Amino acid sequence: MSDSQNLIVLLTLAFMAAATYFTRAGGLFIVSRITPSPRFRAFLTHMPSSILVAIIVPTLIGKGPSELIAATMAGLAAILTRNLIISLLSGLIAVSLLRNFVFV
Amino acid sequence: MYIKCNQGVTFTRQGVFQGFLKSVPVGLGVFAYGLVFGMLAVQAGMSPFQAQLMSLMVFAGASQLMALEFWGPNLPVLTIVLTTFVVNLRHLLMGAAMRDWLVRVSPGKSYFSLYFMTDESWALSVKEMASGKKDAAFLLGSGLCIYFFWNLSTFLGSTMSFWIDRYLADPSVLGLDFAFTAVFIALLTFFWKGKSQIPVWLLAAMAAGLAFILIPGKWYIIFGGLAGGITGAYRNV
Repeated sequence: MSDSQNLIVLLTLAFMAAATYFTRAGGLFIVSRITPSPRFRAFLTHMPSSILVAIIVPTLIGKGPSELIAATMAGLAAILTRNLIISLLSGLIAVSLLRNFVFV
Repeated sequence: MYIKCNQGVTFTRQGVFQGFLKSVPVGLGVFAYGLVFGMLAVQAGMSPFQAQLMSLMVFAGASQLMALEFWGPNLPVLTIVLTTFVVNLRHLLMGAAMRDWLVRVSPGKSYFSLYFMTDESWALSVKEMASGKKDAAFLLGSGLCIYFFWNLSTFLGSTMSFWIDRYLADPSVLGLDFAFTAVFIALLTFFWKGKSQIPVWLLAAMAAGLAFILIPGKWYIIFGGLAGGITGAYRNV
């Protein structure tokens, strides 16, 4: 690979890094410069769990029965034990068993 | 239903340590993905050094994998950078959600911590914050944990591309792709605060589902977060 190509790769990586950091820092930059109204505070309170809901939606609607059942198992384990690791393992074990032996 | 912590937010070395330790299980899921990224990066024509540089500098799984789609002798730089930006827009919301911790420590600490913020470390941290913990260094520790596993696995994946390809081309065989879903579901249950949560989450799910079907990319996370947040804002003030 020539020097100019290497330079382009390096520039691409630098711009990608800058674009990513801009999004990571931008949210705080904006909300640290305003005093949120009660309504905006309520928005900020409810947004995190809504983002979590949004993140899991594609797995729930786009995959299959293995993922739906395993998701239920992980959720139940979390409600019953309040323990992240137990919940994670329940989900993983359930999904690998279901995928490999039940809904093959 | 405000987030409970308001005063007395600290930023301690112990917080970094706590965040790191509590993120190790999730870090192992990230590790599996880093192996695959390293392997695919080499197959797409990157050198192991370039792949490592990308993981060190960009540190964003979805955008790094996306960039591989465009990788070749003639790099479409603008396309890659713009797509990276759009894929990562969700971090704007996530950073804003960390307000209660991050406006109460020095900007240097906040903006340094944010460099390492990923979906996973954010989710673990926002749960800590919502449960009233006051050590903002958790976000940094958690981010460093994910950073460590992502970069270690990028290294192993790119340098041992051949073996990874042979034995772990598809993490879904072991169910590892489901690790993140399981973690996010578990964290979600910790946010349950009663029936008033139902309309918020229902609208978030509907908006995310529609966006997921209609718009390619990660917009569904942004639409879901906004829909749920707005619902909460108008029902609970």
